[in-house]
Amino acid sequence: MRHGVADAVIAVSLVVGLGIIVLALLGRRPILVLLGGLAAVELAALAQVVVAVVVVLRGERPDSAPTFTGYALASLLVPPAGAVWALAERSRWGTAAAGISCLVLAVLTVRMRQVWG
Amino acid sequence: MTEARATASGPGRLLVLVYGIFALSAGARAGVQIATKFADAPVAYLLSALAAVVYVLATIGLARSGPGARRLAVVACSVELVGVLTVGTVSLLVPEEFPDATVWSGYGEGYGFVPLVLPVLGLAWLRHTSPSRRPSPRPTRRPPSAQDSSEPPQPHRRPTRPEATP
Repeated sequence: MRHGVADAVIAVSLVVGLGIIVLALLGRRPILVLLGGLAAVELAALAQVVVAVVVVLRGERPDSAPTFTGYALASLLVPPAGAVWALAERSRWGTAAAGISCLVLAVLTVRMRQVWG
Repeated sequence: MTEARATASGPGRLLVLVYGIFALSAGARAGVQIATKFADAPVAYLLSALAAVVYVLATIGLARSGPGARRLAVVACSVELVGVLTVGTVSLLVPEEFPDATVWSGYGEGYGFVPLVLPVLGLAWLRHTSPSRRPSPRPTRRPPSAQDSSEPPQPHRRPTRPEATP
């Protein structure tokens, strides 16, 4: 069940990230689309952390709690930090930075899935 | 902001982003390792901490502009390249010294070899944006010395303007 949530987060961040990278390759910089995409992956990351907290409160523990906590905090931090960093760049490279931020969230979620055990 | 070209704009935006991610993850990883199980593999964990410091310095150097920041970035990326090549080679030759992986073990294979590619891209980008590179690099021309004083002071004219000839 936990893995199902992680898989959903990975899927959303991969789709959004690759979509934004296509926009970057086309030389586009649609700010509202970028903000919406990053907000969507942030919501997915937040949902995953909420589920993890509920599961932990029920008594289950990840294999390495400190590492998992670190990844969980990073997963919440990456989309907003990526948004700030991406939107300050007024070129296609800003778009690309937003896309990479989403892919980083996908990688973080893969690691969270592994660390949970 | 009189820098010839900022290292944090254009493609550099992505570079700083990835460096920032590595600074964050290497730092967090080293912190967890040293805090929870330092005795298991002290060499590996100290190397993780060193890598984290190098990534933080490279991120700062690339994200900021100015000659000082550029120098910091060049040093950090160079240390990073030497580090990943050295640790990568040693971790393959004497794996018993590395019971737990560092960022740089196996040339960064645990991180998709990004740690190996990153310093190369960083140094190439620093070179590309270097202010001294703006005038195309050519051998410095010898200034006219006293030995050349017998020649007329003006540079000899090349036939670039044929309409000027009588």
